[in-house]
Amino acid sequence: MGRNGVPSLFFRTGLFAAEQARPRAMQGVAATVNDFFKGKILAVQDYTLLSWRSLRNLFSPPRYLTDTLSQMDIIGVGSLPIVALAGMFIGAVLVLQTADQFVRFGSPALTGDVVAIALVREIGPVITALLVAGRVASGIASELGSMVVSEQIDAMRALGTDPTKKLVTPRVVATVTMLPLLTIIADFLGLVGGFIVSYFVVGLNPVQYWVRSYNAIEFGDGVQGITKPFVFGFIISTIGCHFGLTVRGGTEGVGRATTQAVVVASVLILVVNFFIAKVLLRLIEVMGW
Amino acid sequence: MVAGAAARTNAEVIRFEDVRLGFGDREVLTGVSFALGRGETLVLLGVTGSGKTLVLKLALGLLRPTSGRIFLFGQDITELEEEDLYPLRARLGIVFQEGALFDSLTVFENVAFRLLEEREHGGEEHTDEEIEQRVRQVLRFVELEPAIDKLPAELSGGMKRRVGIARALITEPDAILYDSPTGGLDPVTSHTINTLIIKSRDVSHVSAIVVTHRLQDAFTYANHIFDATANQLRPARTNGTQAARTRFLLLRDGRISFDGSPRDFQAQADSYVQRFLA
Repeated sequence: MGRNGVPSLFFRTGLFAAEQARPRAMQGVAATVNDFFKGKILAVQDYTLLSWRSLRNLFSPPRYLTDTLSQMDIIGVGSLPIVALAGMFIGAVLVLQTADQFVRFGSPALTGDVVAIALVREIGPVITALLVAGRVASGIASELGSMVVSEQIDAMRALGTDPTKKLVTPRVVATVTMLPLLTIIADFLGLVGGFIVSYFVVGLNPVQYWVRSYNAIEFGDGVQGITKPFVFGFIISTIGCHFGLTVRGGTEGVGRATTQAVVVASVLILVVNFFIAKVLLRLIEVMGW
Repeated sequence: MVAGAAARTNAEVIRFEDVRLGFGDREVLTGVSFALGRGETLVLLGVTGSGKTLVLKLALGLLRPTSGRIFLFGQDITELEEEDLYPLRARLGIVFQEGALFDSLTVFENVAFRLLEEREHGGEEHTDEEIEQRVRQVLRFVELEPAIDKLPAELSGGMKRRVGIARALITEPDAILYDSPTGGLDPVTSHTINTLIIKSRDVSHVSAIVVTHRLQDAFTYANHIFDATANQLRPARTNGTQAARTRFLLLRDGRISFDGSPRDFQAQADSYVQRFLA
């Protein structure tokens, strides 16, 4: 057995057969390293199983429509003000920074193109997902974590209700459906914010800005901009649920889980964004979108 | 093993056979064996930290034993999938130590939880009127009907336990598991909770495991019956039926060191039991 109650697989299988001969301190270090990595692998396994169950639950009753609609309201409508405000100001600052450069090169009309493509392809989905991760992943982790430490999850299981069906799947469905809608709103308000700055601050032609923006966006850009939020929504909700349901150590553990959920969800969004972009760019190229 | 299988009759609600449970290096339960018969009340005694709550969680399948076998209504649940456990758990009620009420739901929603869930599962179709009537009836049983619209945060510790009992009783389960139902409560509230436990035993004839470290509570269950006419407890006859249906179990060093009648428990010469009785 390893330390901290984690059974030491390597020691049991004889990979560290010379354990007895090692100095005590070395054994301690090896066991700690062993337990650390095993803990991480077990966490990935738990997360994968939870994600799989959250999807599998969609195909078997009960489906908790009321809980799902309630979560859509909390996650979607609740996130709308911050997403709208952030989208508008990001569009505004994009125009502020790029218009100056384009004016310098004598092509201010291109401002609309750049803002539209950047917003729809990358900035809109990523910034919206990061904002929602900060708000929703933390909220889910703290809510479920509090339920774990106050034995409410055990009570739910004891009362014959599957917490993954009642709590996890409605949150996953709500986030996955709401994030694309929030992203579309953020994209549009980003363009509006860009328009306000381009017209009132930089002094560009408003019709030119909107026409160039509209024409710049192609089908492939839309595919990228809409595919990403579905994946990001799944990451945000499942990470929040995973860290919430695996809370250990009372209220301090809830705080830790909340922070971890936001950090892991945010980092995963940025990493996965790169790979989705790579795959989709290739797909768009092959399909000729 | 054949004899053991023969002993697992339909009359048993719960059976533990040499159940062990460990966390890392530490083995908390080192071979627990007992059976709860229908209509019987088991009082599981033991000092704090002896693993009494773990026994209840194992019985519900909330934890898996390291080794040994657990039977619920004659069915081996030791390796049963979580999904297959839900129908069996639906036949049991549990009252958690701190109530474990859903803090975002009202008393009504907490108590009605199982009925509302049955409706979600597409099982028994309860109308809203039926659910409200049933909730009010069970809240009257625990004398908490006026608190029906309150949130758990607005209730005292004793009221939370009583809501927990109402939630456990709503579907008329075959057995109820009480986890330290009077722990941390004042004597008056403890008496109210004990009266409710005996009332559900004598009025609804529900089997029960009551986990406690308070010996006075254990003897209250053994020596009293509920008088429905007077709506209060009264001492049971020495050889009364109810007294005979109550057994004491003592959990010590991870195993059941005593399993017998309250009278035999009192007669034990074992120094540990004597210290417990003192």
